[in-house]
Amino acid sequence: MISLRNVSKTFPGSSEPAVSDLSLDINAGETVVLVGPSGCGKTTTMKMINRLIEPTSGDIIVGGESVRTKDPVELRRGIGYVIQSIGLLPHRTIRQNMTTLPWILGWDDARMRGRVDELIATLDLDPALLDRYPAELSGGQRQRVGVARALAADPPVMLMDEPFGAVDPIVRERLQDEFLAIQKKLRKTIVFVTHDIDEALKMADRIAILNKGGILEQYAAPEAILRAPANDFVRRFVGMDRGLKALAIRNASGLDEVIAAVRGTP
Amino acid sequence: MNEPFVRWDWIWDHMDQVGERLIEHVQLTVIAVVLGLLISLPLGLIAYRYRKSYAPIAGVTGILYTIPSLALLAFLVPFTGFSTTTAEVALVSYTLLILIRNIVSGLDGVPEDVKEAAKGMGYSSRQSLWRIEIPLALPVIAAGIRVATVTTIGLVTVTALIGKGGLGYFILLGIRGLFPTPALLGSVLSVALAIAVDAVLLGGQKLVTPWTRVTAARSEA
Repeated sequence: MISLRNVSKTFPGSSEPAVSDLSLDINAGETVVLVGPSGCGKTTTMKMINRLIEPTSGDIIVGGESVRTKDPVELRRGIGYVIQSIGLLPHRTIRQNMTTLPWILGWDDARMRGRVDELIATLDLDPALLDRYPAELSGGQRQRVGVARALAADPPVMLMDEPFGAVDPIVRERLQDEFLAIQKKLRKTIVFVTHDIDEALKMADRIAILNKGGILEQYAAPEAILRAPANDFVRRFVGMDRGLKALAIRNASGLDEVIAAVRGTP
Repeated sequence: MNEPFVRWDWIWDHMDQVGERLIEHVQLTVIAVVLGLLISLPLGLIAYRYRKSYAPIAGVTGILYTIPSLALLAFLVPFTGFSTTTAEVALVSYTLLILIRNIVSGLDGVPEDVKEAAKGMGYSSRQSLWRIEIPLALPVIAAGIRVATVTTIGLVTVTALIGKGGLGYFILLGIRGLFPTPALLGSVLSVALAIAVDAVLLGGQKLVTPWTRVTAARSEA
């Protein structure tokens, strides 16, 4: 569905590349989490997919087409986008925020109303919020609206940059659980950026662990990363308690693997 | 001679003129602010989009702003005569600095994350400007319009010297006629007009920016 081919990015005025020769295939319906320390180029990588940042070299294919051949504005309208600070439009009501993109795409009122009804049901939002402004909502509610807005035009691909990063841990956990349940039904192709390895382990079908300069250290399912870290960097990044993490992750695919992971813990 | 401080009979006798001059005052002000906005909006947008142009734009309008109004009128009369044009050129030039500064700082104040999210969702830069950046800058732009309007209402009185002046006519009459009633009348009405117009503009701004009135919710999700 998404394919990064030898993608590099060096920002003007910088001698070090932010992303170097990164190749990554993301299957349709899969959640891939880009994780790594700050400066590992994970957000840069994500923003190259919807051309908020242009690669220095290499190519990115989305849905069989190179993103370079598409008009950036058109491309972005087909890709859901959620950022940590959400960026709801402060001068628009929650309903108007949710229908931002459908409105641009020229949907009629009835269709937009129907879509909003679906979205508030999917995301468990109180209909009373629809006529309020973003400033009147709590952080958790705003995050839900941000996800609803990204889902509004039903894009096959979603980019999510630390989408649950700005809320407290309890709300974050609830939002993560809700989102996993939604994703189970919707099967979007999701690129999810976080610096939090625990969030990565919980949310991902596959995790891409990036090192400084955008070097891919390992790209594998969470269980595989816990069981067989590719190198010392991954081992350190995942942490000493990876045995316990293996027990905690949602889709531990079998007891053997869990036991193996625990035995593998130093 | 025992002259009363305010000669109400004089005011009463000149009520028709008061109405006329009040209308003239409002006309001169509205034309000045509207023209000022029409000039400032594109210049403000240029200064916002192309940062390097901001210093020269602010510099030129800043110099205009510092020219004493009397001197500017005296300078203009040889070219445009004792006309409304002369009055408006002077009045408009004093609105520019205030309006352009407020337009640019209003646009600068639009949160970066809102612009980024809009871009990421597929807003073109023009859509982002007209549907997001300008609306969100409105409270600051409106504040500039209020200051420019109140300033203009005060400055209009000075144009009495070239035969315009709205309520300034009475002030000049008071100075020339050596009795205080007309000057007092002109001043009080001018101040009252400024206060009233400011209140109307503030009300109008709140009407078009309803989101600025909401209070943040305290509850957590």
